[in-house]
Amino acid sequence: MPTLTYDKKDFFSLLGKLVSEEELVDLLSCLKAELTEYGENISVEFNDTNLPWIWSVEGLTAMLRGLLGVEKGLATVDVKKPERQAIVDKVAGRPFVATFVAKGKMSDALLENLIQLQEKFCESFGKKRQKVSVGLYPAKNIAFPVRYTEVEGSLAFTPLDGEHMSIKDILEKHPKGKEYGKLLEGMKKFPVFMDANNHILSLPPIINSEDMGKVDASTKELFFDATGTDEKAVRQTAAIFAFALASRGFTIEAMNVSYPKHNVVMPDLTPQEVKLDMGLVDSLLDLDISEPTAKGLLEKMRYGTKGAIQVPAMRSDIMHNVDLVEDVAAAYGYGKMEPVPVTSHSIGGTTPLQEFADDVRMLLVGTGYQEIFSAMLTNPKSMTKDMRTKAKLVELEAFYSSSYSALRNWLTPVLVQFLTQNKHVDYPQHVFEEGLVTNEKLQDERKLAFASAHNDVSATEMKEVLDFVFGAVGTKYEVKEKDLDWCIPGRSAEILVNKHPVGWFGELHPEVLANAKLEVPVAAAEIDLGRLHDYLTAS
Amino acid sequence: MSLAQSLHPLERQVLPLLKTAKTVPELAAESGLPEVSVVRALQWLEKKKLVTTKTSKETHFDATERGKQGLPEKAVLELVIQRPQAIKDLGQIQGGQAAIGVLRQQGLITVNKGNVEATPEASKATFPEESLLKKMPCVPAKDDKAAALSLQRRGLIKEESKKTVKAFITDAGKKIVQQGLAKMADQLTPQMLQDGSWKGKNFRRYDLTSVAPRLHGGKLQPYKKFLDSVRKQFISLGFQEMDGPIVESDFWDMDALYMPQFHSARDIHEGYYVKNAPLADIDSGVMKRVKEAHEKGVKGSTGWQYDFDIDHSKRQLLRTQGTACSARMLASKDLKIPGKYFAMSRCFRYDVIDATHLPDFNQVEGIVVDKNLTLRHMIGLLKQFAKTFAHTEEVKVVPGYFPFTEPSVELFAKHPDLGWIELGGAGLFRPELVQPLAQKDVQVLAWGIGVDRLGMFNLGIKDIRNLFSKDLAYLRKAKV
Repeated sequence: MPTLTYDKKDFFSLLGKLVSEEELVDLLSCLKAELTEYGENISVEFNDTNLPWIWSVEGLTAMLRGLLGVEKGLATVDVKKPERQAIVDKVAGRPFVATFVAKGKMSDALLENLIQLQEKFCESFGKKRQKVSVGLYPAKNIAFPVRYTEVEGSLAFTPLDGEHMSIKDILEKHPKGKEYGKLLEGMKKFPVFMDANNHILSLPPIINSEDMGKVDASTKELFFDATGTDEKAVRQTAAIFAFALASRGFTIEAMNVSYPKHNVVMPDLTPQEVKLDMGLVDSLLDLDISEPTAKGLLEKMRYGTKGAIQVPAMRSDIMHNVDLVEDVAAAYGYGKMEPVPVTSHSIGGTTPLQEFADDVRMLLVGTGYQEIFSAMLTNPKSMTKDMRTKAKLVELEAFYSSSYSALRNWLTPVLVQFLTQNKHVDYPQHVFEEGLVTNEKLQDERKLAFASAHNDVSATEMKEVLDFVFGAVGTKYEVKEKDLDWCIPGRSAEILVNKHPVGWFGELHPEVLANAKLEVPVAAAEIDLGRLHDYLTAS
Repeated sequence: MSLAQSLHPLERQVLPLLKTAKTVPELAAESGLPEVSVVRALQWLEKKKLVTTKTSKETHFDATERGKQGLPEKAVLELVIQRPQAIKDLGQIQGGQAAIGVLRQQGLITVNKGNVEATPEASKATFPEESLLKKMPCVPAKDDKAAALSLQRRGLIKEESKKTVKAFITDAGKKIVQQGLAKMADQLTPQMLQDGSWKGKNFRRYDLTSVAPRLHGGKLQPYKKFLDSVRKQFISLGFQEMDGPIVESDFWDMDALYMPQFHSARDIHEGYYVKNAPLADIDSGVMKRVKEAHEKGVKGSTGWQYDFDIDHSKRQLLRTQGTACSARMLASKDLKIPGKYFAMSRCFRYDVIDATHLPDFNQVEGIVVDKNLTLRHMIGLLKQFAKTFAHTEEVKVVPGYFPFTEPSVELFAKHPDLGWIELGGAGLFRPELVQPLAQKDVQVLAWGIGVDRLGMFNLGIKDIRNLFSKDLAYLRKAKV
């Protein structure tokens, strides 16, 4: 979730009113945002990734002015008629474009603001520049019409902070090329903006040209572009940046964007028209408010209410009337709503297997075993090689650490690792864990494992516990001697119920103990509780 | 009560032997007890004023490692008598240099051009130090004092001292011995009970204030026990537990929850995809309805307007959120209306591991399904949760953002020490989610509680990794 930082003086000058830290926290909470810093700067974390308009300090303060009652109704921008043109060729893989020109007074502070917005916006809303990316250029050097087209990778220009080089080289060698180059992977030709004199402006979404695309505080006229894979998002992006610049006193001049077969004018500030469903307001909020009241609340959230509801072009998050209902509720104030208890009758309960597992856990506690609780992600080697056995595990495609790169498929190794961690603690040690493991068929199994570690441990000790547990749950079990890879030969056996295997017990093999760097003998047992429960309930 | 009754068996063995004063080794030999036991018995007896002890210190000398190899001047002289030696060769012998000096002074050798030769007196030479060295360990006699000093200075012998403890019985002790310790019994035996010989016996009094050997009984793991209690509380509030698999499909984990496949809200859910997993098997009916909701919306909704990718939806990953269980429940034929459901699920997120983040974490999530539920019911339910789980009535609800609820709520509760803490998120499931799954005209209140955080507050744990504690000593000491 993006966090943006604003200059406090600038913030309040845009807001047109001073508010206390406490007040600001409450106001921001209506916008699903959190104040994370209130000092020389103001930092805000935005939880709603669907409303990037308010990430700009201009959009945010416009919204807050509405909530404060300083200003209300549809937030929009005056746009001058288009005089210049962007010609858009067919660009496979990145087809959509919006451009405009903005005239006004740039400053270092404003530029810093714009660049922050551009970065956070393209990173989060733009899906790391894949869905949308934004470019800003000084307009004075550009010969219009500009053209958005595809070129060969051999074409060369000078990227920002780089030498004159081919597009192919930019993608391989330039830091931005290395970072974002994968967005153009597999393309035979590459998207560029060029002006009427065939000067390259940029290689979207990677980098601007050093000669044509370097904006500074002296820039008086800006050329803006947004390109991307999602038409709606590209249009919305242009509206958001136009709103931000217009709020700073820039004049926004629209441009004709000419696709091969159709023409659009950008930025497009036409609001989305939605009819407010008062029935839904009542049934979801139960606040007993009239339509004018509800509309008044929406005006505070910067909607237009002439006839139907007008949604600012800077937002595209109104998919259903429930979205308007929430804004009515937010402007009304959640804190002012009287809670209503849920009174419908229902009978609570858990699953029979959960109850069985809990009973068995208490039995283990009764025998003096300490319960442990472990992570399910594990190191594959600890499950297999370290235990002298092989198995196919559920392994992850990507992971931070190999210690957490697969799901456990049995619990005994978890106990062994636990014992290793506690070599310095008094023996005897008796531990157990009950929980889920996942087999290679991606199915979960409910297991119980217990282990005893001390100088005189033996498989017989496991049998004593098993006798107690099986006796208490009311079933007989059979012991079938079987040499298991992880046990001392001749000292392990399978546990059968109704002739079906439900587990095993035995003394762990010295090699297993050596792998775990354990210096005491260990006896262990593991039972499939799910299977055991099935047999118990079947019989 | 008599003092005799409180005597430990060791004390009763040692005390009668002290008719005359004795040392520890003597008592050990006589009683057959190890010396440590005798020392312990004497300490206890002395505390009870039945015995006094006197510790004396004796000093003697013993040869050092070097001293045990003999007197260097004798070794040097023996070599030189055999044949003249180069001075530098003799210097190699330990203490050789000093020995040459001593021998020259005594006129037993001469040094000539780097060669050492024996004088005629050499063969008759005697060494008083040597005989003293051979007597080691010993207390040197008065006449040997000078030799001892010389040997000590040269590091051939060293002074050692030894403590000797001698025990004397006191009058009180004698009295107890006279009264006879024979009638004392240690343990009540079945034999005594059968033949009645317990009668007339005095049983040794135990010191019950002394430290007992430690017992490590079995206990439940503290965090798991906390989760048990959370489960019980939900059941008591009328919630039925739901279940779901750890390895989930994108479909149930996200798509069925109306999270668009491209959306940045999925970033935080970027999960652990399973290597080489086959595509999940999803009922084609529900898949079709969800696909349509994403692409075109449901009644009254524009939908997300993109091409929904069915294969993408069938990819398998470790469940990122317990809400997947709620999605399954809503689509299940077992869904009851009205109904209340909860799930306590292990979830996984691709994240770095530190004091506040684990790749493996627990979530408690759930839904309330009924007709005519409102946001005010949601707030009412959350206040109930805050009361039940955080023991506070001081709560704050603010708008929240979750891709699958609208309106959405975040719940904060006031912790007495920590101030406002986020307890969880909630909201009314969007119609684009409910209609394709439940295919009924119902409202669904959905909520999730960060139960790990709640557990940390409850158990006073600062580091989230300690919820899955690997420390047996901590678990053994943990309070219930």
